[in-house]
Amino acid sequence: MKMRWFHTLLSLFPASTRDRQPEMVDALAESDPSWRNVARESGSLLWACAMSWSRYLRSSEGLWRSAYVGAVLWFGALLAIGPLLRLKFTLQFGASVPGSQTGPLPYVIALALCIFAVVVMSRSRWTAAALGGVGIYVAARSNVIEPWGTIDSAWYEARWLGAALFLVVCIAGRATTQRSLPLWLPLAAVMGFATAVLALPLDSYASRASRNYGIMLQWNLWPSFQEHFARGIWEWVVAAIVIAALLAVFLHPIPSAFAAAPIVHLVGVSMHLGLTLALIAGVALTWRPLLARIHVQVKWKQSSSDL
Amino acid sequence: MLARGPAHGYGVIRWVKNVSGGAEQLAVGSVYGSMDKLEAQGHIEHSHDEVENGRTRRYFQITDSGRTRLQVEVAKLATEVKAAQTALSLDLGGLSGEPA
Repeated sequence: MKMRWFHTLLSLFPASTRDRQPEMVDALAESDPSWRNVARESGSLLWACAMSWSRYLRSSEGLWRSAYVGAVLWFGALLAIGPLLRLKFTLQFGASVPGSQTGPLPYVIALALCIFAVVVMSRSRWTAAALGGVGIYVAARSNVIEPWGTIDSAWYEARWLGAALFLVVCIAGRATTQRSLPLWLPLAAVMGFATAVLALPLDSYASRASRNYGIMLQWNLWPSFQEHFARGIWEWVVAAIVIAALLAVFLHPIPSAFAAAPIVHLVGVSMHLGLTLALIAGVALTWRPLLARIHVQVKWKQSSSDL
Repeated sequence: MLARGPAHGYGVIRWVKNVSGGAEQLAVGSVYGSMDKLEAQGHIEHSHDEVENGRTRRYFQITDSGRTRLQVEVAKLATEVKAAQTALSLDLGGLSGEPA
């Protein structure tokens, strides 16, 4: 029972540290079997696991893999959301979905293109990027937006960031080094925002709603200062978060590249949920640099009476 | 322990247990986490692998920077011990009523 639990904890370590697990297992097998010690060993293993992951994700291999997995995950979400929603609406409304401009065929084509793009991703980056780009475009053109909820909309908006990230990582490929990846990912995030802005006509045509961080950028950053001053505090907060999210991608490329777009989007859709997420992300991203900059110095002033 | 020669994490845990007569048992995660950190800082490095009873053992050895750091830490500890001893002898002198 004790060793099964320890084996479970050891399986959480990154694969790069698995080579020393046999000796860790031997050491754990010899440890005190009391519950108190099991709790102590579990805590120390979880700490070591977190440290290992932290170190691994900052390594060249870790950066590359997380970017690659992130791109595939984003792309997986893109693969799933369109056809699944279409299936849901078809079941809900029948073959003729209200508000839909197209039949189900474009989704089938988009799905096939996206699956093929993922399959060829490791072999030919340019082919994958081209297939993925066409697949995303086909899926986007045939979307039905009106009945979507918050989460559905978040995924919809995230597609532009995911698409950009996917394309950039595909283009950067395995030649990406630890030094160059933090340059590529902010570029991907900026491209994501740019494509969201470029998608404004499509979004407003498809949804006739303002659930788009591209529209939010337009509302919060582009109007005249006079209009800005006439707005409430929340509009200013939203504008500040949008700017902070854009800046954050240069400071923390990987988490920001994945988190910025959905968070900014959610602020627009659900103010409280979005701001809560933004706060959590902000604390998660800044506590380490902040702690590193805080120096508490305790000075012992020795007076003659101490001697 | 690595200053005496290459060793693996399991070996470090057993050594501390033996030296302390079983009173001290280091947590496995703490030892391997610390060794990871020391390796990342360049104070220790992977030396070689050995197979003992069909189980692989990953040996580490101390580097020059690790040895320098160890000397600094040992000197710091020695200073603290000396300061504590001085403080204790002063207190004891005060308690015995002898002039300081």
